[in-house]
Amino acid sequence: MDDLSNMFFEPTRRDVLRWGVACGAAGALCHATSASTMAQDVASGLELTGPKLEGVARNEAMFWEKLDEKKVKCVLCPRECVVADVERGYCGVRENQGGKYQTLVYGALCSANVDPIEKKPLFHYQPGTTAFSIATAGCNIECKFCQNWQISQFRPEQVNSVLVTPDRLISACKARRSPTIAYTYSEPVIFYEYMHDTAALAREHGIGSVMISNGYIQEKPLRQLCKHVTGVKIDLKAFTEKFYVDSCAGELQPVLKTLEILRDIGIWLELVVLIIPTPPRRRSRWPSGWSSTSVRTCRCTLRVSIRRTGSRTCRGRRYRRLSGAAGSRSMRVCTTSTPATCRCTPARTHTATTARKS
Amino acid sequence: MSTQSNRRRFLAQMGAAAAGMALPTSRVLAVMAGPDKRKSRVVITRDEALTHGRPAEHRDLLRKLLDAAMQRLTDAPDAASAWRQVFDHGDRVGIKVNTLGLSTQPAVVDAIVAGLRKAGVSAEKIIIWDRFDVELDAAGFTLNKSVRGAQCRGTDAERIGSGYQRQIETSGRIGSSFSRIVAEEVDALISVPVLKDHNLAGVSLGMKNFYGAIHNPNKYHDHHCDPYVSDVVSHRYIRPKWKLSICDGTRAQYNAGPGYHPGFAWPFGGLIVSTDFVAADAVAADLLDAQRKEKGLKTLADDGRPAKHIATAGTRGLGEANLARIDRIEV
Repeated sequence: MDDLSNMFFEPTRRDVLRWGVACGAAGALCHATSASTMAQDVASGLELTGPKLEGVARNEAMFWEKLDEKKVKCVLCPRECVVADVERGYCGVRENQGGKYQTLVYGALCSANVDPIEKKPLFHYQPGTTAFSIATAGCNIECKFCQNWQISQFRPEQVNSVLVTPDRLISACKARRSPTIAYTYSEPVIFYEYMHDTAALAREHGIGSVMISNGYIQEKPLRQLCKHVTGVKIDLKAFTEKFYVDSCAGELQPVLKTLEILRDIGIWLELVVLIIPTPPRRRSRWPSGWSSTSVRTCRCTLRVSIRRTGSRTCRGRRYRRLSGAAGSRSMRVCTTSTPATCRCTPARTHTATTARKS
Repeated sequence: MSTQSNRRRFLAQMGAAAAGMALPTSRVLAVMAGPDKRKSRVVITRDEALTHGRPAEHRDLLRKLLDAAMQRLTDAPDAASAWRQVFDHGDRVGIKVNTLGLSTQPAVVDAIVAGLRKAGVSAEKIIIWDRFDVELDAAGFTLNKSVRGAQCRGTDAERIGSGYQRQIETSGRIGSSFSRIVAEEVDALISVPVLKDHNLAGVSLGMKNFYGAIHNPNKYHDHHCDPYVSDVVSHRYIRPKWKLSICDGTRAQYNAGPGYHPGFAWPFGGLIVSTDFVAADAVAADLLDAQRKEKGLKTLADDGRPAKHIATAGTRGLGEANLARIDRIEV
């Protein structure tokens, strides 16, 4: 009966005006929200201008071994690619030229922006400050839900880049009064050499460096890097090997090992657990021994991705369950996207002072 | 009167349509099957002269050899009709060369272009392509981006990144952006790989050559590139368009590929031609294995890098991978 009455309802002029105003307000709100939600890092303009790079920026790579027949073995990440002459590793940015391994992205920045540090996200590392955020093309895993796939899953020749030396980057960072450089957007492990040199130089200038990474890196390069960077954020994509293999073309165990190493080193560490609405996953299991209150964990929900469609924002049961699983281990859980509304009570917050000390 | 005229016209149109449908089918069947209807046909054409000097010095010989191979492949009375059996004069043809490491010889591609012209394909409808301009240039090809003559250009010729489609295409386990050349600019494909070894895939031949059509081949070298190679060539941009495989064996390499190693160079001095791209790869891989044995090396399988992708392509029905069911013809 109600349905029928709705069908024959005749709106007055006042009703139409009321609805119009309501729709307009809702539309404006949605637009503002979706604009920030859907914004992708790769869509942002470069903060730096410089010589436009034609081709690639070659430099000798770090962490590789010579093999016979001009082959090399890369020992930067757990993948340990064996690369023949003229071929590239899985990441697409490290190439064997005549038996010598080279990085093709040294200073080849395809993205540079001044972001709030919380966008990394790092919610407890100098909150309220900005991070000069940079990236090159390439990644050492292939997540089907990648949000920055336009740069992470392409090779250096296939994206627009500018050539920026470490000292020029430091100058630009100072000019914009950013206390931190964030190596982010794609996967900083694959531009390790540039990150390493820049972080070392930045430290001399009192500028912090944070690596926003998937944690897919070997122990030796990680320990060497941690002498220079001041903070690390690791994306823990899932809690099962199967998910890592099927959806990320990677492995879980090396990431867990990275977390252990970072904890041993004592560097500032925050974890992000990405919640993907589909498909269903097994109950989350935190690595044993992970009850340290010094580790912060936050949730990020999926936005625009590369090969996964039909995604939606997840705020439901699984979200609450994951929060509970983490919380039960006495981990600090931050479930919001802005520090102002964050309800977690961190043991301490990384400040500029602690950054310099560490 | 008008009714009769309409019926007659209708019948004539139906007859023409039926003939039109039957013609390409019979043509394709004739080429695919050859005289022995059960077997795929692969023609190997060699000449001792090709092993001496540079391939560019033997342009006429290469044309003759290729025409002879096409005739043998199609049982056509002459070269022109052989090429016409495979290509239509209206085809826009993409010739995918391989310029990584030991590269396709421009003289071989010249012979292919000459053959296509015999089929009535105008030069302006031919694109010789690979990934990058710089690689084509280094391999000795003359870049041509003008509207006159056969074009020769890399996928990224115009602007960084513009040569690949914006959207990701999925096929099996791969997710890649395809070259706009293969996706949008051509409707017939010829793969012209080099007869060479590959340290991961076992061999780098006609099917593997199409890794150059996707933006992220580096992601798909695990597990001997299997089943990724089959996934790439199964895609709608490639499989329905792929009409001919011509493996350049003027200079071959039986070990330590795909980079060029003079110590493993092999003056094979010939071409391997087939319309069944899986059969062409299977025969070429067999030839490489035979050469490896002759030189005292392990076979690819014993060396821990079997060319699994060829077997997978056969299993998937993309072509014939079983050597016993391939009609291998030496010219």
